[in-house]
Amino acid sequence: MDRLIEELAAQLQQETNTNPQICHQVAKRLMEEVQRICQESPHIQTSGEIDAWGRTLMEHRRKQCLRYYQLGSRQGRGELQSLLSAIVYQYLKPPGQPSSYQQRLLLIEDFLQGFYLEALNAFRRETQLDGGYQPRSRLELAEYMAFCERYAKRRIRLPQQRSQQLIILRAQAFTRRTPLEWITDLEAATEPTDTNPDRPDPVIRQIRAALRQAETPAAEHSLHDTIVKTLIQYLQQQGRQDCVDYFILRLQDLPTAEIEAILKLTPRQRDYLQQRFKYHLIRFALSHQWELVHDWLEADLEHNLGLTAGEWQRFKQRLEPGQQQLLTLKQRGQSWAAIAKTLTWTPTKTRKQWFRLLEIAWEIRNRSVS
Amino acid sequence: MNNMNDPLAWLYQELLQSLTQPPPVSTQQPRPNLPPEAFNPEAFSEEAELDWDALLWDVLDEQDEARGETAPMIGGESATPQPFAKGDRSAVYKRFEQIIRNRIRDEVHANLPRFPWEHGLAIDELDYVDDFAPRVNPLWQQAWLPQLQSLLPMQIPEQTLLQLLAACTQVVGSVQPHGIKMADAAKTLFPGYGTQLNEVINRIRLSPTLALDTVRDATTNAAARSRLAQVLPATYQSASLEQQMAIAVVLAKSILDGLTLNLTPRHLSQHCVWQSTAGEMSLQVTIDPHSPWGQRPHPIRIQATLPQAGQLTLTTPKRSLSTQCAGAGSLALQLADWQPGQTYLLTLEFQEDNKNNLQFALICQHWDKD
Repeated sequence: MDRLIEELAAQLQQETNTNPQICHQVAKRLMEEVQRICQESPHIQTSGEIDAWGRTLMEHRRKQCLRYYQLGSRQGRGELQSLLSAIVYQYLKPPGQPSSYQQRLLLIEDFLQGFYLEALNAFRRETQLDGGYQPRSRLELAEYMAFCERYAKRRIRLPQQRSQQLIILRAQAFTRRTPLEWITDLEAATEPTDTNPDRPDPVIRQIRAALRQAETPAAEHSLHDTIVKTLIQYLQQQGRQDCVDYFILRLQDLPTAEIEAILKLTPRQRDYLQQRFKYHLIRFALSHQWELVHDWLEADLEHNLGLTAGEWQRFKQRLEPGQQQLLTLKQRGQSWAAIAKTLTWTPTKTRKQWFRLLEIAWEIRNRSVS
Repeated sequence: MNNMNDPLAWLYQELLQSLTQPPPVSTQQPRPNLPPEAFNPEAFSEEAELDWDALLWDVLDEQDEARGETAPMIGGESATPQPFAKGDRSAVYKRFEQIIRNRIRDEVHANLPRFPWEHGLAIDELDYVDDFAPRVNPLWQQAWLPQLQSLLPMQIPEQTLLQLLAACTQVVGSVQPHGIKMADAAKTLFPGYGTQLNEVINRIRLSPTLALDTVRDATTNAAARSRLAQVLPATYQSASLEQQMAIAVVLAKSILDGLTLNLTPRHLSQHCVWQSTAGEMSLQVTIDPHSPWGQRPHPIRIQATLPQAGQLTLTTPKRSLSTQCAGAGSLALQLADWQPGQTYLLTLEFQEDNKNNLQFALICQHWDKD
């Protein structure tokens, strides 16, 4: 441990233009925290690799501290504030109204001021510094900022073997100070707040969410996750990182206006982006990963592509002879290559015909709904 | 495009809607319109249990990300094996945080937060500098290192010893009680730890081992020295912070003792020796015990034996007396009109370069005449 303190102090001194005394004290404080973790962590204690972990944790803190040092006072605090804001963003929402980017910013600012004070007191307490201690040198400021980040990310045990980051628990408490009337929330959410047809009825969504939570088996989570991740990968392959970001924000259940604010788009730009996203999503669903998606929608071949018996008949009647053959061969589980050979089509044509076939099925489904 | 929109609009809606239902129970995924059951009021007590192990995986994750080894967006295994569920930090949510973080930077940098001790400061007052100046010029008073190094039977960095000597020099002439001077001198080594240092001083007062007489004896008594050596840590750097404080206090006391010449009725003569790089310097002050005690105070005789050229200066409120020698030899001064209880400064200059001065405090106490 002492060797590590010396080593760390020397490294800090080398990388910063700071008085060796201060470097030594900072190093000591950092390593005392590391030591505490090594003592308290069941995993480290049972692993028998205490030294290795000590070194790993020390390295992590060294880099973290130096990073804030190199960023300096202004940029460093900017990065810290941005990082912490992003962690608590979803947890700080003005109650009783749809969320807005600007309102959240105000809440976050307010919340973080209180958090910085709590972190400072914790820092003083844990390192046994004076109640009046404050960072004076650039390195000490970096030490404090790095501590804030670590303090925020500490994990608190919750029931059922879960854990939550400390700053998130604080954010939840902060919101609760202005009591959340969730009935009012629900009423507000059911009022039509925008005319975007892509935003389904909120009440139904919430009921569905509640039901889902109760009964969704584990397999379905992983299918959901797979689709989300595969779609994102597909969008990235198409070079549409903007669609990826749009999708990710939709996944977080954010209203359109907030998405526009976050992505810095005018409504018109957002609309255009939405169209592009829709285009790619359809292609993904019908061509790129049709089985995955249809499986998810319970509209796979085993379920007659989601059509009722009557619809299925109508569907088959609309198919051209080649397409009918294609359907039969797919139902038998043959590969694309084999099907192409049998039908004497190019692979491209085969896929295009399949796309068209699925399109027809959806058209029928759509018509029967509307 | 239009061809696709109409029949497949329903597919799009269905798919998007189903994907954006949040999958159940990931504690990092908030559901802003439902009462968050992840909130656990017990997690707010001071003793809230930290999940130490979960912390470790976060650290490894951060290191992976920094090295560019993150799990790709498509949910591959992360580079480090995770034997138990750390669960909820999906790549998708991480991307969400990153989107928010990047977006929020603009606002943050336009309106940088203040930390608790910075309230009210303007933006250009937020720059911290490197505290690179060591608290004492390392070249000063180096001549006296031999003496300083002999005070305790343990290895102490030169910088620390010189810093203490400088601090003691600063306070030696003050009229505060000896104990306060000692504490003030030691505190200069531990800025920000005043409270803890005071506790250490209190404990030293009660400790027989570190009784300051013991320490003084140790400089002359070999047995006492070796007993003390067993109690002390081998080196200063390997000592804990508290041990370092204790050592600093003991050293400060020893140094101050060596710089203070206190004449009392019981001690009509005081003598001290300082080892320098050039040899031994000795200083003696006496009041002649044989002269009759008349109305006028007896003169104080000051005698110094120097190993090389130097100057001795006594400063009184009215004037200063000075004497010098061109080479090794003796110097003498006499102070006739002294006031009881008044502190006089006796400065010893070495080698004309002003960098190796020693400053002594000379006090002759009151005594009642029978």
